[in-house]
Amino acid sequence: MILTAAEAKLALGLTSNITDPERAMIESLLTRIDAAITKELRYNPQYRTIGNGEYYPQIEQLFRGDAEGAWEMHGGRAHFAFYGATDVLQLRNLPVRSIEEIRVDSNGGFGQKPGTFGNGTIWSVGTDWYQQLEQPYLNLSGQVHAVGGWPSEPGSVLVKYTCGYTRLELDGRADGSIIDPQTNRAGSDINASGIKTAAELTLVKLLKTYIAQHKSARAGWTPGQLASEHLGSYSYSVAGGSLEALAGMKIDVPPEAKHHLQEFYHMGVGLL
Amino acid sequence: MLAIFIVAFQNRTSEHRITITNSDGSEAELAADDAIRVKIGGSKLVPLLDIRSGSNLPGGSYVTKSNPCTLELVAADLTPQIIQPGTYDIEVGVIDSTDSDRFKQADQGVFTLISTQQGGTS
Repeated sequence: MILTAAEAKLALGLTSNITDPERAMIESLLTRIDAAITKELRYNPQYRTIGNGEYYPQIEQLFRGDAEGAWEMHGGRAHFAFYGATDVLQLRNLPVRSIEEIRVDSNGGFGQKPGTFGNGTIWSVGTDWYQQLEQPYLNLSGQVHAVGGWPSEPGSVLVKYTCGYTRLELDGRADGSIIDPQTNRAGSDINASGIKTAAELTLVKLLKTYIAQHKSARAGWTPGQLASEHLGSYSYSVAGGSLEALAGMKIDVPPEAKHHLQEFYHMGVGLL
Repeated sequence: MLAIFIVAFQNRTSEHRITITNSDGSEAELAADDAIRVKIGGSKLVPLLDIRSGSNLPGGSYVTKSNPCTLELVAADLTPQIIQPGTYDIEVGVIDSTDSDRFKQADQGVFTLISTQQGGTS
């Protein structure tokens, strides 16, 4: 998770005194915040390995290149596999930290056809493809270039890679003088703490919404801020303007948090 | 309901007192073969520091088998190579010898490691 339970408690001022309902609320909110941040960025920013790989392209490229391609054999027949019009492959998750392997099979069918993506389909780094790197082990754009061109057939490319920001990078504490335990390499100088800041701001806003929905001992189950109450012939009123928003419990990243995510948005989604 | 909140300092030794209570607020009693266990790290991750009474960490950090117990965090176990400054989950519990040595959490709180100036640790 982007935020740990301890960080959430610190942000909410619940370090020395916390109730079980508050613990339960935090636990429930932390995973939803991850989902909200992922939705906003259009990718999960946490460091991990895409071990089973991802298939590309998702849709057939409509414009083929200048008749460039390669002859392949499928089912005993020769087939000319055209390269697409672009030599750029846009990976979904950012940033790309390392690519384990790329397999290209124009008959790949997203791995659902028998006998596809065998060892003979492995492309070599430097010879067949290369990444757009800002630093060793850092590809911010997620773009991979083919020496020739990528095939136009959907599901014909399988990429296994690691991506995302490590916990140290999300803390803004990555340092080249120590080994990052997640990558087992010297720490980068990347500061991705804006993502964590956005998560904290989203958490605080969500919790205030939760609390406003809570059953009030005085006002029963009526949600909303207590606007006024009287003593003689007791009466109360609640702020009704926020009722729909509270009932909908919209879990979006608030505008003040989006500001901290500006540099992390996935700008290449349209190329997928 | 009180919670655990411990502040320690990078490369510095500190001592902390923790009391484990029952739900009625009375101090929990430990059986002869019980052990106290303290884990410091992040949710769903392998702990960065995992201290069990009777089994000190390589740097000498320990927790006593008593209630209240003493948790001593030694500088050699708080180097940047082991744990970076920041905020972590801390979990304290009892290994119950009368129940198949099951680890029963007493509480989970906040552990903050503060960065310090460079220099010797003694």
